[in-house]
Amino acid sequence: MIQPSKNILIVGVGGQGVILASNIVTEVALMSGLDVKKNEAHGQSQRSGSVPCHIRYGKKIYSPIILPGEADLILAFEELEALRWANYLKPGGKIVVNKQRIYPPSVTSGMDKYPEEIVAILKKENIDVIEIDGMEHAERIGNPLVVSTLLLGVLSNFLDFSEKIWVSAITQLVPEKHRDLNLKAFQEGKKLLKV
Amino acid sequence: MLGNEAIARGAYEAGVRLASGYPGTPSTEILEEVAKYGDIYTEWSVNEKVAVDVAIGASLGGVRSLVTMKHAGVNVASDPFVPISLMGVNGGLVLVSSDDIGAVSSPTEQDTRIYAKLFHVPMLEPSDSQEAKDFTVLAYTLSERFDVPFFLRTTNAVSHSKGVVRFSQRKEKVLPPFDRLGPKFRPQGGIHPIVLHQNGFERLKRIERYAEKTRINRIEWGDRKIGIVSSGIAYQYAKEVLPFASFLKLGMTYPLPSDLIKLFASKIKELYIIEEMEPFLEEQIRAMGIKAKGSELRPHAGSLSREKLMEIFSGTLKRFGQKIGKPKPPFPQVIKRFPTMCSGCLHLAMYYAVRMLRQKMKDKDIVVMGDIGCYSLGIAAPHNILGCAFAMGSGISSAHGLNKVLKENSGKILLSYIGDSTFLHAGIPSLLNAIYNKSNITVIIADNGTTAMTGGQEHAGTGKTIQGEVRIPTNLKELCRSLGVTDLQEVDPYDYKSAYEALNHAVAFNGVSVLIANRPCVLFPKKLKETPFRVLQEECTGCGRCMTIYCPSIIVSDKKTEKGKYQAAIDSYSCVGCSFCSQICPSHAIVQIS
Repeated sequence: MIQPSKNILIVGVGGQGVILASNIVTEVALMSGLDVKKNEAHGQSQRSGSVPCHIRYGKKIYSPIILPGEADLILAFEELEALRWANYLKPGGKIVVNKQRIYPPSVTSGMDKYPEEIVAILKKENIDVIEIDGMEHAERIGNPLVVSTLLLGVLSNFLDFSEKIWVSAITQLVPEKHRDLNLKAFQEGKKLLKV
Repeated sequence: MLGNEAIARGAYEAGVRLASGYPGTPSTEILEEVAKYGDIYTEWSVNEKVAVDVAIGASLGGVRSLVTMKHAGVNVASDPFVPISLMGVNGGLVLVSSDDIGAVSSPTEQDTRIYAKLFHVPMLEPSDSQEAKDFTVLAYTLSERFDVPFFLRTTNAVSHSKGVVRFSQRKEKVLPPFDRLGPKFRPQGGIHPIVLHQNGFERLKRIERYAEKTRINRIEWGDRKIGIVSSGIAYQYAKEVLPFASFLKLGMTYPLPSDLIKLFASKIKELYIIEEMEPFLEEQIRAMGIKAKGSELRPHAGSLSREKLMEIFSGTLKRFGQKIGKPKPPFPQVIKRFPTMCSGCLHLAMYYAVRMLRQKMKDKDIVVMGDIGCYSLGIAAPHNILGCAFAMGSGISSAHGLNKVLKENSGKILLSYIGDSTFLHAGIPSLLNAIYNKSNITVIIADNGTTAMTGGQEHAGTGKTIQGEVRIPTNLKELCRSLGVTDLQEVDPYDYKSAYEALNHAVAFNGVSVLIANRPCVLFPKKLKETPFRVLQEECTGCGRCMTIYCPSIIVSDKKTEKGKYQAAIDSYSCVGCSFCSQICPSHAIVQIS
């Protein structure tokens, strides 16, 4: 499968499963025989910081880091993070936003205001936004922890990788006891856009 | 795999038998990965200097050894590294330094390449994960061939990026252990230090001849109008921004291959040296009499990026017909999300006690010298507890120094605040020094039973090793006593009243007073969670006292009291049930969920 280089940014807040999701996408690209590089922010992930994972794949990749205006796709696990990283999207790129708000301490302590209507702000800039209520779907599937693979299912609709490869990457990287649930979540996520 | 995982894999393939180090971002994962290979004895040593000594011992014993640390650790480790670099090795010895460029998780940034010169050791700089593995394996071969330890330097962008890596088999290599009577290791009657030093220079010349022909220093010819000399992650950035240019890619950045560089420069019209931080390559290349542009075009501090290179080379890019778009600025509505202390963290409880002490002793100035760990966040708002924090263990000794120069009526009360891992790393000699020299300070040792900031690594006080073996944990109380501490208290920071009283007692004591505050980290070794607490709406007066703990679980609700004050609320999902806020609420409005 030959395709031009792609830049995918996966962002969220520490503890949301951003690193796992990015590991799966990286593995999928690798299994498809592509050169792939990924950069992840360490140190912040355990302490509710903003966590961006940069994934770049193609025939030959040099820098592991995506610049503003270069991302083909952004997968945001949280609304404020979607807004924070939206300028990284290239013209015509897509952003998948999980409808979840995690308030930073500056907001909960009343010092800052969480921006309202984030999706509307993005749409006003003619950004192609896909909203997903991941938590609701995940709870329906049976466990809020599968949001990560559910969102990957949504993302997979925009990437040219075979379902077989996705399934085998998830099987490889998700702990065995949660495997079936995560595979189910991936399938559900994939279907969400076709409804 | 990650650059750090690749270094670990390289060490495995090279047949390394011993690995030591001290945790520090962005180096930590190297040793954690090495520990998973069963064939390699691995330890978190108490500090970087000790880690180097341990690796030297293994090298003398004829086996290949690895020692890992972050840039600041090299400062600590440099003492034994200088002599051993000149004396040479037996089994191959590689020191890995991962530089936190941009000081993402450090009080400072620094370019450790400069140490290569001081140590008289060769330095390899990988630019991606594959090179990280390959260079590690190569470093061992060369370390034994040239009889010198090797320096492998990475930066966060290499250590924390993943790339494709091809594996090879592990090759065991053990040399005969060193001969006690052999000439190399006998300072008395052996080789004079001046001769050793001179030998160091001669050896570098031999390594330079190797550098001229090694494949890891290579020319990639492109358009000869523009030539780039680069290494590490800077090479990757430059290669992408200027794909048409000619490149001299250096894998070995010390010593430099002068003939190769002169040859490259002679065929190039405009020569640029692209590197991050210090003009390390540039100064050496200019000293060869070669004209090149470099550091004057870029900032010396912080990380380089493709963005900066595009700016620097905008004219060149235009000439080569490349379009550069203007990057889109971030959305103005975005607010910051800083990393926070965790709900239920013992530091929040201790900070609160210090804050209350400050309020009580308004006529005094309570100065808290901090240290390196999660609690370094206490320098910043909203906590504003620590005065400063600059190096491991330095809080105690600098508080002591300050104490010695302050007049008795200065109105200042001196505290120092240090975590358990940092105390064992470099706090012990500092405390000993303060006691022996009759200081008047209070030392708070916040013992959370782990090295939390770097992700929960074991240390000499945890009772476990990196490879999961059980050990007798160091008893901090007994240790302090043996150092001569007479005023010693142990408190549970979750018990606010007792902790506050103990703190009051400690600052009143004339001499060195030590307060050990024990509470396990809420994240490591396992996430702690008790039944959460909630706010009784009918009782909360909206006084805001609980908000001053700065616990991320305590939030301003949208409900108001009759007097129009916003009431507090507790996020039951993140609350770990430490009970601290319920103890300080003046209206008893915080209760555990039943």
